[in-house]
Amino acid sequence: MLFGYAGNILEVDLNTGQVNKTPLPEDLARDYIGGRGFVAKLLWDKIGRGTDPFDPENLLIIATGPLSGHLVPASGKTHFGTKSPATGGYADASMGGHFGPALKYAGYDILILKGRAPEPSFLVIEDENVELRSAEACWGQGAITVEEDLKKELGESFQIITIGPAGENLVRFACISHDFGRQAGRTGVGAVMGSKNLKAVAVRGTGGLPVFDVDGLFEKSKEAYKKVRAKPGFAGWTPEGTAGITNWVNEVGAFPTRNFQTSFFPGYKDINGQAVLERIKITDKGCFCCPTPCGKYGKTATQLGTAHVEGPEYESIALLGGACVLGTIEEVAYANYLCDELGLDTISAGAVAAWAMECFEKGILTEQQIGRKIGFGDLESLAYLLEKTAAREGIGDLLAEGVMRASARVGKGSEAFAIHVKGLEWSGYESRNAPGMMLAYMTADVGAHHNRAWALGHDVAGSAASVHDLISAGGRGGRLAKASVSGKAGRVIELQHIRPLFDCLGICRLQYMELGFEGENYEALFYLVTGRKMNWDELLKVSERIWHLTRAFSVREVAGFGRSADYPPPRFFTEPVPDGPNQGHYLTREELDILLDEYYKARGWDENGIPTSETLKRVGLGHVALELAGAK
Amino acid sequence: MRITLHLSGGLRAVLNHLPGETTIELEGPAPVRAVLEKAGINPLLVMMVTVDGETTDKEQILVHDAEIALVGPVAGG
Repeated sequence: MLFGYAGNILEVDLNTGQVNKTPLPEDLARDYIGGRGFVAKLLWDKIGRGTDPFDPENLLIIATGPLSGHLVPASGKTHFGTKSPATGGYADASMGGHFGPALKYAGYDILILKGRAPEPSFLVIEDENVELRSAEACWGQGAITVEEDLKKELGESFQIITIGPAGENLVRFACISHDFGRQAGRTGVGAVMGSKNLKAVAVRGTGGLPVFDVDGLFEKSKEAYKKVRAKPGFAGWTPEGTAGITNWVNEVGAFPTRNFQTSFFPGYKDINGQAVLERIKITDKGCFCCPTPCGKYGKTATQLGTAHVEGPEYESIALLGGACVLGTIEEVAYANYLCDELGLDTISAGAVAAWAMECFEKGILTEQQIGRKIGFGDLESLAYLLEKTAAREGIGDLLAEGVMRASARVGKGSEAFAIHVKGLEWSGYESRNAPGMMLAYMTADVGAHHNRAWALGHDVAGSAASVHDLISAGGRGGRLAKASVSGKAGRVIELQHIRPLFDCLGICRLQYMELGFEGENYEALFYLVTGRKMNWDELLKVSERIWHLTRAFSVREVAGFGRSADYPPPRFFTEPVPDGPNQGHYLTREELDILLDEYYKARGWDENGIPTSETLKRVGLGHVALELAGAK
Repeated sequence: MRITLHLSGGLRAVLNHLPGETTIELEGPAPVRAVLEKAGINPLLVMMVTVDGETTDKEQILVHDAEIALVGPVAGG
């Protein structure tokens, strides 16, 4: 018996409505653990080479981990995977909430969606009963509105994922929404769901899960809950949640401001965690079994209207606030609400809008092309761009393609400030003086996303001597020293194995990464749930295998994929930061090459960033090596 | 004055040469920032501070014994 797992894969062919239930293979659980690991393995095995992301043959895989749904701190994570419409390569996105646990209680570790429903549909899963129903009535409606309506129709006990108009209209950065403010935000998973004519999935499960040591788990979980809440930092971090880091990111000059033109936002105290706490928040909101609820559900009022919204959390503040220069937390929260309802990833949506604003400022896009004047710091401009994008109307049809494709079409130098890697827009950390973070963005398997490896703290620590001198001399936010470039690969690789491991286990990483809930606790919880004794290093070995596999997937699927895909946009290696703590700093192209050379060597990849056959065999991916060799 | 510093997981990850808990003796009132420097902690690495459970900032003046929790660099969601 596979303890911890529900034990089944549910596959739904949306072309026909046919349902296929198969046992979860033991070797899949053993070699890939769950969640992200399941997604990576199944995408490699099941997607035909060269499949277009919007082809019905592309898959949308929803996977849980062995700890999802158990009495384990923050075990509400669900993982989504597909071939990305943003990058053309490997894609996954993680979501908090309650959907994954419900899917497991219904009896399924993995839900595979393939084909395309002949008409707008939604899927209802209630234990053994799986039914495709018409979504004609709710097609075109907002993601939050539809979730609310389906809750009324089906019952509160259903957990529901939805897409908004952006997903229906194949916006390449559309997200999947859940629980009125949780999203699988990145890589365009919502667009793939839309391409399948699937508006929503609702699941209710009434079953249990097999646990190796029930009594032991119960005792350990009680202890874990108390330990997490007793951690130094719990009282400081939890009240504001991720929004609480806004001050610090500005102090170290890493806040993406004005489409990443600079890295310090003078008005940051009007859009920080304290502002969320004092002016937006109504209540804390946590995911399944979470001891540290970081969600801040609240209400905002602006000149465009009022809205209830979860957040904004840090990334939304950074990209909707900093990148688009919104001046108040109320405006940021309202833009956040619009993204949630329209079904847009707040990170990419903010980045795309900021790119358009800079294009307008530089005269590259005209009022006639856009349909009105737009500008930084103007909520009405931002709302206009978001709504046009989600509908693919007018200028929105261009913006819906994301900054990489949009800038390639527009040209006129706009590619230099289209802030992305591999086609995925950059998240909330400007990195011209943070070489570790820069490398993390450059090499993240899904594109410019921070949640694979967040190395900014290590970059600041690495420059500690000079910074310390500066501070000790009485300086406050003065100019920081240029960070050293060499020797970053090892730390970035270590982080790239740790953070995604949590996406395999099906739990949130914040208790470990942010509060320091020690790794040995997870070893113990994993054992008590699954009966498998794996120490931290052994778990990380699995995470390493998955990292090579996701790289191999993009090598196989994206024409010409390799080193050239790993560079940031020219702004970051040609333009010094104009002001703020990192004034004058940037990384040269030669320094970026040092970062990549050291990284590829440490990874066991060739000079073009392709995993070598020896490396793939070493991590148990001999079949992948053979297939890649056959593809040459 | 006896000041006890508790380092969060995020802080210990980047200052792994320091213990999770450090005690500093002060002869008179001083800001949190000065205590950090005395403990060998770059103030720039401290994202949030609580003094005796209350959130504050690095400029707060400490005037008596205190338990200080330091939250190090953490990422957004």
